[in-house]
Amino acid sequence: MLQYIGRRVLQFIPVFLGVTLMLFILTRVIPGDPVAMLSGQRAQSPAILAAMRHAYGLDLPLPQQYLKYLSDILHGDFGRSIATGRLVSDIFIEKYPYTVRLALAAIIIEIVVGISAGVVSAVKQYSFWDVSVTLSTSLLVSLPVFWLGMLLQMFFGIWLKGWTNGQFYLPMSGAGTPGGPFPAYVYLILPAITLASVSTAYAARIMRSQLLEVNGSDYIRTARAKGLSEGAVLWRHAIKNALIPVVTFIALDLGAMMAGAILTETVFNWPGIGYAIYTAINKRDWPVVIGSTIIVTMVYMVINLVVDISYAFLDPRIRYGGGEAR
Amino acid sequence: MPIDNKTFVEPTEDGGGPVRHHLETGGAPLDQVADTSGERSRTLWGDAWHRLMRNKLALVALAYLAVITLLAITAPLWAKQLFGDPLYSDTTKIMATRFLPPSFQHPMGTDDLGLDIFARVIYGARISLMVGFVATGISVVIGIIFGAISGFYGGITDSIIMRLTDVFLAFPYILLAILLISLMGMGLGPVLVAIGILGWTTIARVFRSSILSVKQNDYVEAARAMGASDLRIMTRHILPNALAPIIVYATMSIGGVILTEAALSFLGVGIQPPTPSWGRMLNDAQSYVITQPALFIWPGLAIILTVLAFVLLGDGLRDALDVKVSE
Repeated sequence: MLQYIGRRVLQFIPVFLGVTLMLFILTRVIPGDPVAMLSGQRAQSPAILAAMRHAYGLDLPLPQQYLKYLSDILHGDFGRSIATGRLVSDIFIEKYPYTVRLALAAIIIEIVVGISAGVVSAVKQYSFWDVSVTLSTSLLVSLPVFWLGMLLQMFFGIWLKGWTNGQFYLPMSGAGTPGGPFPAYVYLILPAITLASVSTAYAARIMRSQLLEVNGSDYIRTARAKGLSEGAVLWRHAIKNALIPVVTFIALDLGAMMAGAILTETVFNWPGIGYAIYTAINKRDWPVVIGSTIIVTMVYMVINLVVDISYAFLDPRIRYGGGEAR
Repeated sequence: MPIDNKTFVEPTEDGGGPVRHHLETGGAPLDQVADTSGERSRTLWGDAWHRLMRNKLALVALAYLAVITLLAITAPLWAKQLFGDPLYSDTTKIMATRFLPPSFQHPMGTDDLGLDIFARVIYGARISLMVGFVATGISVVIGIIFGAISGFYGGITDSIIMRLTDVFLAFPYILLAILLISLMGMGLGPVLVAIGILGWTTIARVFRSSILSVKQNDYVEAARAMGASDLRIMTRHILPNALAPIIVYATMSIGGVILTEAALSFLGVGIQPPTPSWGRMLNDAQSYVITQPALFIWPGLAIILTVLAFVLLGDGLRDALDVKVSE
């Protein structure tokens, strides 16, 4: 096991270096002169430009610049906002709890709804429920999440309010303030459903196809042959085995959601890191866009690594099966 | 879009069949071969075409895509005359022309600038379809080249290319797209390039695994024994037989590309106004969700129908070409 973890971590290093190198090339080499970008519209004297270049280490050879860039990242220095002068890492620390809260709420929906829909669909294959699940999952994976968000806003924020004469509705945007009209968790409902929608559809599909596949396997036939009840076969043998790929999918999806749900957060003005990136794009505040992307990419990579390793705990076939754990 | 990382395609086991077929057709594209189907010729692509024609859902999808493509291509010829300029409005008359309800003159009503929503949706189709085809085309070309090199030569080249795909897949997709586009300056060109560049990894992996399985066939060994060059073996023997999974995967991913373009334009980094694109229209509609739902309903429906059509067509092609695509 330790050996497996060691191997995965070792594989992580070249990918990490590749990712940082790519970000370095993209952000330092392509967009021209970062010093000109920092000084904005104002023209600076050549002496000041040279001094700034020296201060930022931009007069060093590129390989050395890359090493400095790496060390900046490892020391938590991701740059500063042009608009406000705040450190990107401070903005991240302020916004990230909201992103995590939204991701966890969405993942709960995904687990509960996705898995149960998949199980019902597979157990009652070709029934009314199966057909509805298949149709709605096809529809869900084809629609833009932000559009679904707007639809939900319209239904639960506006129409419902109209039908119930303002008695009952859900808030359409923001994360709520203390003393506001709703407790904080109510603000989570619509964004979490929106964020969970596509992944829930995929989870249901994977669960269904896995369960159908497991159902045709030898050990299920054996379980039936030895006289176990259908319920015991389903719960103790079939679902348990069919769950493994679904759990992996959901765990990787949690990683993706932790990387910020920029579309969902934008529709609902949810004050997470995704919405911060969106507002930074509109203000042309590139250091925030780039710095947040770097942080979020690191988070994403580390979560994926953790998922890979914990997957090996769950499924022994992985850790004895050699390096290709994909 | 985490599902992209795990989607992979495997060719079927009956790899023995295609060789005879590809010698007959020279691996010609599907539509050219389809012309000979009336003569009941038994080619791989002809068979596939017949199977596709029996799939009702795929046919409906194909018909929808044909209609919307035709409307999109011909739009400059009739849209302006029938429904008014979809790009610029007459600002002096804006209060009289904005938010009109659906009518014969404006089938979907007008938007906040008094522009005809139907004409804008059709113009949006031009952008979405072009981005879908061109960006997927870029991904397919890059992916096929890298996948072919990786699968054909193996060894250290293979390892390097596969680690490179790991690096690309280690990024959160939409953020990397935003970053690339921001650096190139926004608009249509950067969107095409960014989506095209980011899509190559999965195609490369699909094509690599497809090549690995084709490579083991006896006819490849035979060609090598006859002294064929690497390039000839690759283009004449391996490529045509490894193509089916790519066709299926590319068709399915056009839908994903259209969704990505819509998302980027929605966030404001994609297609810039006044060019209408579905994502941009949804962004503009955000201020009017309460009062004017028509502004976001129609572009959203257009996205769903088009994406669904590509997915269903992809499903149909998968069954017709007998390719195994795992979820």
